[in-house]
Amino acid sequence: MTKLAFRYFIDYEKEEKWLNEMESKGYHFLRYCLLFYIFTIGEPNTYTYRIELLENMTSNHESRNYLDFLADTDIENVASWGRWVYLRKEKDKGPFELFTDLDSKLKHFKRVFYFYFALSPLLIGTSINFINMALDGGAFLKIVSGLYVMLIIFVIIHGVKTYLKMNSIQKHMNLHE
Amino acid sequence: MPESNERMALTEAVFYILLTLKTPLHGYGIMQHISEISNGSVQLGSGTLYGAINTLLKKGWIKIYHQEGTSRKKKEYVITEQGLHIANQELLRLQHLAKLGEDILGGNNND
Repeated sequence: MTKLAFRYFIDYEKEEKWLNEMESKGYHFLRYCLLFYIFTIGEPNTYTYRIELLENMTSNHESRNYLDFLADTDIENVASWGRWVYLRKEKDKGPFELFTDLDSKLKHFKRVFYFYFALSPLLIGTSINFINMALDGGAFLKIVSGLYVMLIIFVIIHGVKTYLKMNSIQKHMNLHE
Repeated sequence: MPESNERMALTEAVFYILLTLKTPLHGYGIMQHISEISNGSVQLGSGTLYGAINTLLKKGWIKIYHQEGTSRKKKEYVITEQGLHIANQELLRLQHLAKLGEDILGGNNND
């Protein structure tokens, strides 16, 4: 038995929270493909899910080493999308956190921040094109470009939020480890 | 930051890993052992541990012990001479801090 869901997330922490909420209803996340999530149906609360942005693509040698290491610590790589990996661990095998100190948490937030930062020239460039096209285009083009601009605003807001999070961790690190 | 000299404090994770690797262990073993010796209060995340292991390998404070199996490598790690030296230095630093704390705070604390 499987269930299909359609969702869009920019904030990976919200996505992670949603996957764990689905898990608590007995939907075990299995695959992701372009806004579609596939779940298998089973016993609720079997797994804890975590999402991580890797430094390299999953096919990269370094990433393979890391994923093998995770597998040795009972963490399964269920799905991936570009550099993003969806990981899970059986709840019976203990709590599941990837990063347990400020240093490594900050490093991951930085990676996420630069991921969006690197995308931004492309996103802003294409949105300017869209707006130009929409100005002398029909209603459909106006709606599509409107949605696109909205998406970019969300991405920017998320980028700023991630930046603030990085800052607050850095301040905390002046006092604590 | 007013950190004066090169004798910087180790992070808790690094200190625990160095202590644990007095006997060779693989990744999962390190996590379990740290959890044991800290009475469950330190649960190292896999991502944090992986990053720390790689940094320690680069610094030469730990090394790969041996590789078992052929198809799927499960690496074991062990502390090096240099790593032992660093851990001992950290121990002295902590002892000094603990003594200072006791001298100044001792008495009007619990007990």
